[in-house]
Amino acid sequence: MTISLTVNGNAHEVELEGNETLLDVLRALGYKSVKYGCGEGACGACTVIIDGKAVNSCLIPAPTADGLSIITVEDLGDVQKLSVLQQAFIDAGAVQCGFCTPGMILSSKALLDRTPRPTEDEIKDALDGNLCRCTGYVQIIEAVQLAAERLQNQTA
Amino acid sequence: MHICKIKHVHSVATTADARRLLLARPGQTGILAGGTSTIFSHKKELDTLVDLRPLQLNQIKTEEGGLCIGSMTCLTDLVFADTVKDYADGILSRAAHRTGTTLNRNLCTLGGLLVHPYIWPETATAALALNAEFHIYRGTEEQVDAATFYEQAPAKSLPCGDIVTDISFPSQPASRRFAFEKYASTHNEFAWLTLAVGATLESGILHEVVIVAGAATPLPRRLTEAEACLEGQTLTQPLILETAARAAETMQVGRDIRCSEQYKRDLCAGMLRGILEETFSTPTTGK
Ligand SMILES: Cc1cc2nc3c(=O)[nH]c(=O)nc-3n(C[C@H](O)[C@H](O)[C@H](O)COP(=O)(O)OP(=O)(O)OC[C@H]3O[C@@H](n4cnc5c(N)ncnc54)[C@H](O)[C@@H]3O)c2cc1C
Ligand code: FES
Ligand code: FES
Repeated sequence: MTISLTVNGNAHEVELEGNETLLDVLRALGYKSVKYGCGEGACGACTVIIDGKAVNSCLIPAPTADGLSIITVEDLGDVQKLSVLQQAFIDAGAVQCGFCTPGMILSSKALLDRTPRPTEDEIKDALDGNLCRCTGYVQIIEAVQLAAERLQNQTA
Repeated sequence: MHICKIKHVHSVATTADARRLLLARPGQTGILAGGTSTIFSHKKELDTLVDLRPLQLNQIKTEEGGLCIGSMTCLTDLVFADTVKDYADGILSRAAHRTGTTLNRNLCTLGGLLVHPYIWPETATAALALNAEFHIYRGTEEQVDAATFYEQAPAKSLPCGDIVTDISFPSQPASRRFAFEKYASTHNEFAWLTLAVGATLESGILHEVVIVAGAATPLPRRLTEAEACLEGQTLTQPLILETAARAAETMQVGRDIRCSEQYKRDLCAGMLRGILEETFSTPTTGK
């Protein structure tokens, strides 16, 4: 079967076997920020945003993704021009090996889009499905707080 | 890569269309709600999904003081909706919040959780304590109360072709209090035990007591002997201890690789004691 989907504003048509997940499709299309961690919804490395919500792309059967519009971290910014969230992660020292970082940033983006001034508990809650083996989480929470503050200052 | 190869996903306009497609090829055609269990399906023959998303069954409505929630409502919406937080001391919202992670909750639907064939969800424990009703389309619309629905495994209560459209939660009197607790080794792990308790507290006397255990039990179940200990009584410390012991003793415990049966009984006694002390021992403030 063939599905059509939009990733970061780019339209794609994909031919499927039928047993792929959205994660498989995104990586095959070259969106390598979307990582394979556990493949069963437990680690958050495969996080993408759909309809404003951060979700596990490894849990979405690809045949059911026809017509979806997906955001990956590539959409936020690149090395030439980082987004406020990406820069905050660097400045707060929230990146070590970086494997969890795209997922962390997308879960944080979904949170800040909905709740521009989150409490620490709201940040912890929004990131509860994103595991990090390196940082110990403290700097990641600080990075989200820093991004929230900078985004507030931008709009003030 | 998962086992089944999905060849067709049907987008349906009505529940009648969905039912017709499901009945046309039983076993080969399945329901797509949040879709989070599809990749774990061991049914090699499953090759077609009927997508319920176009049916717009994702509304949360207040109805005669209660709630009517579309089966396709995702758990995150239950966590954040003020109407759900304000209903029955927020136990449905709390049960939804204790399910999986934010990323999972953004996908999983209330319907998908309540009928899921093997993991007894937090929300089912709350639904039974709240006396919820399942609205099921089976050619015509039927309503089945949660107690009847969970008398047997959902696969039997919901034969092929049946579609849960909404779940309604009745209005609760202001004097009625509720509490929900989950125990798992981490915040997001599948529950070892869930407890939901409801009771009307009038002049310090407990009436219409409902104590429901889930996850430890093979299906969510009322602990009727423990309920009987409290009915018509004023809560005292000896009564709390007696009720907790009765609940632990009479709870039917399913097999679980993670801990022993006795551990779950001890857990039940400890959790129920905590709930009764914290939620039901102080004078009611009304809602
Ligand atoms: C990592 C992870 C953690 C999880 N943690 C928990 C947890 O802590 N507690 C918990 O309870 N669950 C948890 N779950 C969710 C659970 O295991 C299932 O994935 C979930 O219940 C499926 O819901 P869904 O909306 O995605 O339904 P789907 O996967 O789309 O459907 C599941 C099945 O339910 C039936 N169904 C769905 N909707 C309807 C309907 N409206 N009418 C009739 N039949 C229907 C169909 O038979 C369908 O095949 C977790 C899942 C994952 C992946
Ligand atoms: S790879 Fe999807 S949650 Fe781990
Ligand atoms: S930075 Fe290494 S897993 Fe998070």
